Amino acid sequence: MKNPILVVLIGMVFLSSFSKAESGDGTGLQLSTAGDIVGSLSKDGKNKLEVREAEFLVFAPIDHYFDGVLNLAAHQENGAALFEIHELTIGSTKLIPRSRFRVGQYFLGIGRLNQFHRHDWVFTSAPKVQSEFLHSEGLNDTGIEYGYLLPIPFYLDLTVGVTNGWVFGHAHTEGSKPYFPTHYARLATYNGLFANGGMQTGINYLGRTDNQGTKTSLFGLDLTAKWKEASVLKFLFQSEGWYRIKTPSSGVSEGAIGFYLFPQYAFTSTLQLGVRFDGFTITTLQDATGAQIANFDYAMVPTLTYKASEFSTIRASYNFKGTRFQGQTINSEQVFELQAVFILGSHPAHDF
Amino acid sequence: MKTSLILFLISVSCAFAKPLKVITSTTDLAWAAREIGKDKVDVTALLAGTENPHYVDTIPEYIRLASEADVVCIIGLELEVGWMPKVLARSGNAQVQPGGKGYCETGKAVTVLEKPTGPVDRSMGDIHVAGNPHFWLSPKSLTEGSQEVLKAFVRVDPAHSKEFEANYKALSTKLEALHKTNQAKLKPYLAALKGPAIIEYHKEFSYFFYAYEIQSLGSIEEKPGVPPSAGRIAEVALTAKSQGIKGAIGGEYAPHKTMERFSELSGVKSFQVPTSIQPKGPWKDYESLQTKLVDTMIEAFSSKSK
Repeated sequence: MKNPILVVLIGMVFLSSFSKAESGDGTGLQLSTAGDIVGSLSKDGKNKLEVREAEFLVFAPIDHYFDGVLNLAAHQENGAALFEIHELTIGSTKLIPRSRFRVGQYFLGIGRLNQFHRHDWVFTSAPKVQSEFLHSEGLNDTGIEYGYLLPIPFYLDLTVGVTNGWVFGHAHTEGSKPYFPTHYARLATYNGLFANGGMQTGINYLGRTDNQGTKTSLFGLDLTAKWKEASVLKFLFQSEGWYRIKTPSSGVSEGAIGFYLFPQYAFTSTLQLGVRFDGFTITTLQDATGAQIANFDYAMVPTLTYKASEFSTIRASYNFKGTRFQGQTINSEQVFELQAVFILGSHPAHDF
Repeated sequence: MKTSLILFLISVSCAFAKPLKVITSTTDLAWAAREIGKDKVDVTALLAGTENPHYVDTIPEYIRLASEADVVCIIGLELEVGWMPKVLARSGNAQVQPGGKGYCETGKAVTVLEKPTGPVDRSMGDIHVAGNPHFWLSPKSLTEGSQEVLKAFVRVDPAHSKEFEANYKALSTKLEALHKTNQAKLKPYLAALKGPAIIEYHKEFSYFFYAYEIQSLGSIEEKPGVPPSAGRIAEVALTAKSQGIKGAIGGEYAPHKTMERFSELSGVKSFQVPTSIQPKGPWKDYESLQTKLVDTMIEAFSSKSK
């Protein structure tokens, strides 16, 4: 949305909604604004500080059964600030026992990073596995998602969904009608670790066949472990691994595997240090003779985070990335990133 | 004959009726819920009593427990705002979500202390606009808050309302007696004091102090929820020293190094105490928790500042 008048109108709607919420008119309307500013410095990079994203979130109960969410984001794309709907859903956690569902446009409930807005991530930029397989901003689409908590003596939560699949990833075009729409599932469980810790594990599947007949299947595993000491998240381990296979209607399938591992230690309630290790390889790359070509993209990203509160974050990270091909490093890059994030207004409670 | 049979069947079905599944956020509410529900309830506290209830994650196991609950009782007053709304929403259990008959927010019934007047924003720290939520350390306030537990039990299981009401009255009497006993224990020490004798790390003992008429100098934290700076610690230590403060009290999860530093600078002994019942620890019920706090006060009042 490039029309400044519309931007102003939307701003006015938000301001009025904010004042209503503050005046306690009984609607429960809550407003949140998030700002995400990122700068990068590298030998051949743009070396500039820019507003990566400004997000406006409104959420409230619609009535005694339904809840509504509207999330608008303005973000940098090719040098221009684009204003667009990231999420617009109507959903309920009250209509069907042990269930929740939402209809509309949303970030698909799979994996770990994909379920959090980018400004809430524990590092600045997406690992290659996220940007290649899903999208660096997260995979969103319009569809229906249903979650069910299984009635068994331990936590096992199933999420399934179907979305249009006209586009995949992040696009500003209508796309084209797929042969088979995007469909996905996630099964998540939780285990307590010692007295103050726990680990959530999810297994994920996503499939889609585009209008050219190319079938994409993604299989993923995500793992998040936390250990708290008093009020401090002393240790965090977050990881995802995904395998993708793309099969054209005629031709050879392409397989790829990617992962990231992110351990983080908190020195104090405000200061955390983590290191992310990324890996990515195309498993089916072959030369003319049919011999497999070894290839591996890697990255190591030490990340220092200062969080004065849950509403402000200053983060510095150093990205050391490289590509190895047939046993030799053919490319390497070093990027320093600085990020500042703030949240104004209400912010909904987070998942584990 | 028919009537007798129906009455017999009702009494048999009542006798074998499953107890209400009750989930509480804190152990203190769990204790109160058990006192009110007795054998008609099966109560589980989500927290263990050792955590800082402000900073808790949305643990998936909490979601599972809430999904099976008939009643969920929380402190409210924004204490659990960072995690409980998500727990309840993801449970998919309409009965225990806000507006449901099994949802019980105990803070609603409490005479709230320290409700801010005038404009409030986040530059003032983690301010609770509804007032201080740490009411359960006052027996009187816990009695008030437990009214909401009683109401929820009556809504969900009206067949046992008379028992619940009688149990609530017994709880009220018990807490009043406990308060009187502790007040009598503290009286000679308080009588000997002139002005405030205690300082707290975070303002979580306000209701306890108010209940026992203990004057507090205030908090080591300058802004609630924000770790005090070195300058703040030095400033408040100097004030505490000059005013002859007898003890600094903080929760077990208060930063130990900050409490130590305060003691070094002020010469005031610091005490880190439980702020909730700990079923797996030494403070298994409300009486023992109150006794621990009162004994700590007496120890502080009896100590001589360095």
